[in-house]
Amino acid sequence: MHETAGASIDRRVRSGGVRDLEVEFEARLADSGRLAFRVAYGVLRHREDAEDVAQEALARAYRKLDTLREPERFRSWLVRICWRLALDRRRAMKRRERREQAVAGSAPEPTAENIAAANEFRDRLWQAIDALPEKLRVALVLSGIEGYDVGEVAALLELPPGTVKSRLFLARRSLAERLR
Amino acid sequence: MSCERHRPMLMDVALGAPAPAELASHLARCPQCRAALEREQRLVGRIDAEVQATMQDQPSVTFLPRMRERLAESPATPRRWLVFWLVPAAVGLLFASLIVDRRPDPAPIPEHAAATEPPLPSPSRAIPAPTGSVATRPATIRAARARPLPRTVPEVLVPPAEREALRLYMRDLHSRRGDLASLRTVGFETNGLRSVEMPPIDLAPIRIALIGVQPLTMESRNED
Repeated sequence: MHETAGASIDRRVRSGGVRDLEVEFEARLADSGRLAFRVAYGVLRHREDAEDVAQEALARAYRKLDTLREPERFRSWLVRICWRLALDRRRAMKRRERREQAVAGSAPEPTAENIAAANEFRDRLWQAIDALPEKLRVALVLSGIEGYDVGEVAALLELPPGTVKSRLFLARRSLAERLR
Repeated sequence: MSCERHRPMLMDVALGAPAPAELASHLARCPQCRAALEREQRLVGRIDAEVQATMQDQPSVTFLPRMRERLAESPATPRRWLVFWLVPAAVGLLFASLIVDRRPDPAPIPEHAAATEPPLPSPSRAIPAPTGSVATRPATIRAARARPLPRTVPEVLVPPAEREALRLYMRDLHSRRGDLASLRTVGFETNGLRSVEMPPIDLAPIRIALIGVQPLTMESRNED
């Protein structure tokens, strides 16, 4: 497992190299910004919304950084904040879509061309991912990030690696059975 | 029949679980099950690839600059020392206010009380009569009780030369050190004159005269 930038900052903070909060946050911003965006994007699959959510999560983390007693838990803390905010945003989006559909009448049936489009599998896959239990879903989304293996996901979720492994297995099997 | 028994295990193998020996030997001699396993493996590979492709999306190039701008606009991170000091300071203020409230209220001697100064009107301690509906009366009374009453100023005229002596006496009295000897007009001393000792006051014993009381008769009532 290669060491991510966030893990490197964690190590420096642990060793007492960094604890000025603003310097620490700035050092984390690039790595944590990408992580927050990807977590939000894994839930929302909409770039602008994911960026908004990631910014909100980072702003909250920044405001409360001094309350975090264990700096090495920063990224798992950020993932939780971001995941919750993204779920809230998606619920709000779904409510809005339902309202708009109710006003505009029933949604048009997809055409044969649309069904044949390359996005079909992707749409079905993410619908299936959205239907997964939350524990399985967050593990699957985080494992999809480049460089995040089972150990890294386990550290982010503060779970034993064996638990993450079994959740990933169940998530992928559930998806394959739905998409078969 | 053997294929149907092994099919449910193909997915687990496709997901990376080790194949049991019995399934492995079956796969070696059954092309249909091998094909089914390949299909499952392709599906799993496609799922993994799609999830990874989605999760590799990067935020836009303006994401971090906008984030920094937002953080610069937001209030700074509250410092822990502020919390550490705010609570003891609040507790200290509370105790100080309690101690001040418990101290006896010394009768203040106004610095500018002079013979020429007219006496201040005595402040009214009465609670103002509540107005308005009956429902608002308790609230009005509570508000009137909560209001601090104005401090009273003694309506005593003190000659300028004795004012300082009285002030010192009151101070000593409050600190339980007061005696009559301290009642001196220090004003004379500061002017280089001899201080005046107050002679002890000799009071004659009080004598009570007997009063003759007579019973009230009917005649005396008619006279009234």
